[in-house]
Amino acid sequence: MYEHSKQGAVDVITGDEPLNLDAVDRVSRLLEDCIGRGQPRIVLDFGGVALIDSAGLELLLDARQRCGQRGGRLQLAALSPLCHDILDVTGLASEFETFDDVLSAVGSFAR
Amino acid sequence: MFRSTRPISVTRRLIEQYFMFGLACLFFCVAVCVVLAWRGSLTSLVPAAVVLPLAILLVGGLVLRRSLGLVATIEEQLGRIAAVSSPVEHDLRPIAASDPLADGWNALLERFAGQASLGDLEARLSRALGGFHEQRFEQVFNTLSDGVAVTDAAGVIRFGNRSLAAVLRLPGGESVEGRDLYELLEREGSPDGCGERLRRQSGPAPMSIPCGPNLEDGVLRVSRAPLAGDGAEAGTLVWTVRDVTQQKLADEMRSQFVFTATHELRTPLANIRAYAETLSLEEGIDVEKQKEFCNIINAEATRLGRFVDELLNISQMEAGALTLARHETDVERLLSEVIEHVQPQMRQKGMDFEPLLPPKLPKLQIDKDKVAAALVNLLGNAVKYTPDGGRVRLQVEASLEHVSFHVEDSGYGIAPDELPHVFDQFFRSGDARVRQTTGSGLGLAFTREVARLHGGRVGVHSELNKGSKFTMTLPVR
Repeated sequence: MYEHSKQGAVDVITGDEPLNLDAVDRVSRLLEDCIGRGQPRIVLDFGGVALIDSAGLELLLDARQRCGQRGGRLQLAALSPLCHDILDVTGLASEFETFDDVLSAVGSFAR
Repeated sequence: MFRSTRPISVTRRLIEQYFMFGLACLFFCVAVCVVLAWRGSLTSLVPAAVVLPLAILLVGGLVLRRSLGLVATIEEQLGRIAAVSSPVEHDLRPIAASDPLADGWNALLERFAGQASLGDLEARLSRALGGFHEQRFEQVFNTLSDGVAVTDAAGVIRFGNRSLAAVLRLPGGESVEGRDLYELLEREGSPDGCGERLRRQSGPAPMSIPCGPNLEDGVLRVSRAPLAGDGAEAGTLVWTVRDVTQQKLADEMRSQFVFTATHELRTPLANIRAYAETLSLEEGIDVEKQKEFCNIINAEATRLGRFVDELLNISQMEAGALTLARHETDVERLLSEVIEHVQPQMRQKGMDFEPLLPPKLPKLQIDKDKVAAALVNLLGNAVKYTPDGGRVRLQVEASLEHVSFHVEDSGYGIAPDELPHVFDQFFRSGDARVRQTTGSGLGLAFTREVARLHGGRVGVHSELNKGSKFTMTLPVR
């Protein structure tokens, strides 16, 4: 299940299930809501996400691009070692800013 | 007065010279005929006297025609050049003849054609490079996270990058060009007519514009400067619009922290000092009073210690160092310890405490101390923010997947606009009744973090003046 919350002016999307084809639609809708409201500042909390599949990666890339088009940013927080490896192997690790925890990711928007 | 005279063309001059030459020949013929007639030998030499001048005229005519043909062609082409406005819109042709004049003309045409193609190449390069630079600049501006706009003197946007539309919270794809920036800034919800104030002001005017009554609604930092450089139209302004909401919130949190820390450290210290001084300086204080003062000093020291503990917890949270030591925990036992902790305060306020626990509770793999601290925070808040004689209920629900702890009170409640912030660090309600009670604004932030670390969550439902219900749900692992 993926849930949206706000920390200050930052949208935080927290998940506790794999970011795969089944979850992509729900996460996409949450992201859509965040991107549509002003300049997007989004943190995806991967603390409870065990796996990202190709559909999830595609969603992340698409969301990152759409945030960039509106001058915003999409940050990834609390990635598990496996999710880190998936991003590394697919060459996407350099495409995203990653943080150890949600607080640091949210704090990055205040700098 | 100067009067322009049309120059006589080369062809006309040659024809005139040829005409004069012809007349000279005729005059010579007539003179020869008169001399011959005077000598009486005109009849025998008539054919020669007529044919010779005519032959000279014919040869001269042919030579002249040949010479004039080249000159006429060049003259015609030069006339065409003079007639057209643009130097590239002519049709110059080389002359097919072996003559120094033709060779010179052809060489001239070749050089001219070379220069024309060079000019054409330069023009194409310039167009291509101009387009390239324009495209690059647009890409650069569209990559910036700050909104950038170029407006005329009236504030109408001539150029705006993609971020500008986002910062001004316009729907995706909506163009800002042609719109009034002052109106868009006004439309953002600035309560004090910032857009109009900006319109009236001159100069860079860096200004923070709130987008609504609350800080969370957004704050924009707007600055502008006149466009400088050659060809810049007078009154053209370059704007930058930055969303500084998160920075403002961080600043406010820092101020709140300083305020809370100052208050929470100073007040107990001042009390401890005052009572300690009284005890040491005044003589003849009876034993009961001394005991009371010592109890106050002890309570204030405890309060100080609690605040320092909370600060340490928060600093651990900030550093991501708040970790769990999970052990199998008997929830019933945990709850009895928590209740024991808050019961003295409840008794002191004459409150009605109602624990509703299911007959059998599962054992949880949790960090007992941290979960206990989180539950004490929830129950402690319920006691603190409920008037004397009020009601506090602790209800526990267990399923195969989750255990939920509901803490419900009949207290002051939380205003709807404050509800989303109750878990923020250092947040204190603006309610005067809450302000009267001491608190650091850190307890709920800690509780939420503890729940999150356990893979659970904390939620709240509240109604002002009726009470609040906090729910902490932890997964059964």
